[in-house]
Amino acid sequence: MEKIMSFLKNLFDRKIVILAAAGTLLFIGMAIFAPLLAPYDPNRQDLMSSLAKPSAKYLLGTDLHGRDILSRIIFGTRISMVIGILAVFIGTIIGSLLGLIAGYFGGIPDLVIMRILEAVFSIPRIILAIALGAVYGNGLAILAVIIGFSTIPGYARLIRGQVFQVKQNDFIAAGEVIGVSSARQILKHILPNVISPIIVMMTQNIGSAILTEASLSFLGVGINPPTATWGGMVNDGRSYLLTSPLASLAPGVCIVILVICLNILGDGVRDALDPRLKGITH
Amino acid sequence: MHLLEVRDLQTVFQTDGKKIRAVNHVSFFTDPGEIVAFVGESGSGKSVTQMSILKLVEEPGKIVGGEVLYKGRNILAFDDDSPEMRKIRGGEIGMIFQEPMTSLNPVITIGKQITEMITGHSDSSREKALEKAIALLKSVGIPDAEKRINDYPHQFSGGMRQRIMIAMAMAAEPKILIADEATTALDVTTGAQILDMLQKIVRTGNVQMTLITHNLGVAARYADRIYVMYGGRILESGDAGEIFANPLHPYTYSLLKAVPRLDDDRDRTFVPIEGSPPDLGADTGRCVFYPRCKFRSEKCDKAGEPDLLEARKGHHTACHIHPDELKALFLSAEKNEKRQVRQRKSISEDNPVLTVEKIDKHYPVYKGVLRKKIADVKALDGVSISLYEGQTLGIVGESGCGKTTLAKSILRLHDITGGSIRFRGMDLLHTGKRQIRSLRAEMSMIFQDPYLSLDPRQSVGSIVAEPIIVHRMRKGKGAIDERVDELLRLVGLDPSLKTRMPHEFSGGQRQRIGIARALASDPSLIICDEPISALDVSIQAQIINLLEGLQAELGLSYLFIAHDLSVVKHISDQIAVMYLGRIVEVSGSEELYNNPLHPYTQALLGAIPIPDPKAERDRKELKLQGEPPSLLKRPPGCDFAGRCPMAMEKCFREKPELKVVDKKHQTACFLRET
Repeated sequence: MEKIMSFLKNLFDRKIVILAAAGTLLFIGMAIFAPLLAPYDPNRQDLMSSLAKPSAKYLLGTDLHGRDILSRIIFGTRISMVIGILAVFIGTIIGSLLGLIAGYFGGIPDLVIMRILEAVFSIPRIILAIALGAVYGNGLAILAVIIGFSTIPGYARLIRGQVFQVKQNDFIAAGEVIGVSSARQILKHILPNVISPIIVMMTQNIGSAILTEASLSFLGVGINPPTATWGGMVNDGRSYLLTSPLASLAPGVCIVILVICLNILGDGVRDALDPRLKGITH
Repeated sequence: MHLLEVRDLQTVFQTDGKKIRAVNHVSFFTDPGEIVAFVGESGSGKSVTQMSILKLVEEPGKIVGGEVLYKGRNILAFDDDSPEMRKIRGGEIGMIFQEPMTSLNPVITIGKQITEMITGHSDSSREKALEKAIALLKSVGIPDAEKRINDYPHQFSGGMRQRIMIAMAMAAEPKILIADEATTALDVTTGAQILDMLQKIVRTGNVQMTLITHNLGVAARYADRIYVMYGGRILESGDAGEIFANPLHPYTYSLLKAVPRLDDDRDRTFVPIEGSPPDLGADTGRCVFYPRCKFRSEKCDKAGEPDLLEARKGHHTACHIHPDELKALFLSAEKNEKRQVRQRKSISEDNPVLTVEKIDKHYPVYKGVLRKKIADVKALDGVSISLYEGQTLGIVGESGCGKTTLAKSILRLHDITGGSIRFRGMDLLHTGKRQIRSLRAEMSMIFQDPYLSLDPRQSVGSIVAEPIIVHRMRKGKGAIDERVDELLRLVGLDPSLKTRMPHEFSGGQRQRIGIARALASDPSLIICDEPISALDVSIQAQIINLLEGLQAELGLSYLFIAHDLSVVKHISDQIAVMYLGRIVEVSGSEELYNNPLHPYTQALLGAIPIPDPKAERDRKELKLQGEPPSLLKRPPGCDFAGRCPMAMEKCFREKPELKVVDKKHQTACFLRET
């Protein structure tokens, strides 16, 4: 408990981190309370006011089908959040675990894990996604799993390299001399020392997961229309960028803001977890 | 007029709203043809002072006051990047740094790097410059200079690279040469060769050399004058002989009492300087050494910072206490110093804790795509040692001689190629994994670098508790905590600090934490791998005394690995000298020093400087040439024959075996065989 308190205190030591946390919370709130917040049903079509300019009725205007952009953004937050978080969760856990094992044991386990990862992921992920989508249908969960899986080699490679570095330190040798088991070495001594790059990569991957969802939706293997997703909206509005820029820009700005908030938060968490930075003011 | 005169130099580092006064009102001078040593521990400001002279202090550092007069001109007035300043840097004042591995560009041949230096500071042609480069390389002792000039830095050993650095520094014919811990990263025998060579350059070329060193012995052997620095200030200055014979500052005096000397009586206990180096961010308005000074008086508390004043002719000291009074204080301190005659441990030959017999450790070398094995690197070649209950066996040798490989073999951190290791009669090589794990409680290790050997993400309490938890020595959180407190107290740390993280401690304190961890599983054998070589000189004595105290209290056996013979000699009962993976001499510690039989041991002893210019002058020593051969090209005869001044024809053909010469003294040398 005391540790958590001091972690939070360190985390919110910087004003910008508070701002980023607030921003992230805002989006989470939007996702949870979407039905209460959205002025309209996101799929309600008002064909009479197609591509309407912002007005009192439609605060951010409407798209081609006359659907309220604001409502669609609010509902789209759900998809983006779920995909982002789920995908990153899957990728981080499996990728880090494989990287830890490959890096710590080296030799044959390393060779086997890394070669298999390279072989599987030499298939472009869009094609992989289309194939899997064709087999399993294109639902939210499948999409998250596909995106998550495609990030595994990145994590594995990053962590493997970091583990190699940490392993050189005498404190790992000290553990061996004491008789510490491999599992304890990995979890207690190696993992905490490679956590910083994992966190940085996680925050970056949430953003790229949201963007991947957008491109997959565009190809028709992502979330089926008419479900509102940020990526899908950016793509839909692309053709009318000159006449009604908000149809694309508004969801695009949301993606940018969320990604920036997450990155800053990630940096904050990394710094707060680093005992060496404690007490240093920025 | 002096060649270089520095007046009232002040350099500060502005960090975190704190002003670190790294160089604090420092004044000194140097003259042509003399060697001046700046002696101090890490953080004393000795390097920053020299960097300030060259205006090379990097952000957030800033020179805030003073004058640097080079040939009478104040060079601080020039811009950092002005042509005048660039001419002085490298041209008039050359510098040699500690790390020869990183100061040369790895992708450019050394010839090109040196000629660039020459053409950059003069207008000689390429051909002339090349000629000069070859001459320079010859003068710093690089064999086959004509051929080797086209080689890349990685093709040279560390010692050779440092020679190349010196050749580069000399290329522009500087008037001043600054050597910043230039031989600290090198082996003692190589370091001695290089310093001897530098000394020759200074004496023949009328160059002035400034030696920056933490090693009092080096200062005593080579320096004409010495400046002692501490906490950004010069505390004492004067002729080398005068400083060592008659120190007039409590810091210098305490330092001399704290360092082990090769010619020490083994029973001398070191008097450590308690406490840790000063925090230069806090302006206390007092003498910087006040908190750690044993001789301080009320006057020191109130009188402000003392000025560096001339106490005797040419001998300055910054102390409020009158020199005569100090002398008296030093004398009475020496009288009170309890001559603790350590209990001689009786060697019981029948009770070895550890017996290592003829172990080999070979690393295969592969080549080509098919990874064909082409050779074996014999890191350990038939090494045998025995360690008896409650004793200390010192293992000495230079880097690459296999000391650490031996330690790792004993701890079964890697498999060995052949031989046997027995711990308390149990064969370690034919023991199952499970039993090895329980044996791990019996043997532990203290590491060299206290910064790398503690997990930065674990609290001190958790680090020390680890062996207790792993070996289930105590059950329950309360019992474990209690034991951790006890261990921390045992190594002289406050148990209330156990929630802190390792980076909050100083080097010496961290090493204490490492020792507490090594003791946590109640071991009977501790392998100490260079446990003090990464620590400041004033801290080393604290750790040595702690290790000795623990041995007496707990009956531990130590395997003490180090390259510093003076420390090993002090702490060990027996010493084994290693060269290129083999043991060349084993004997009692006193005997080894008084009567070294192997030429390598003699050279190793000769290379270690004693912090006393008078003792230095009286030494006759065996100077060693060259460097150890590569393990890949192990000579067919005695490994040392190529460097041995006494080598006979037989030495190049046959390998001498380790043989008993007289009681308790073994050596592997044909000269001692009759």
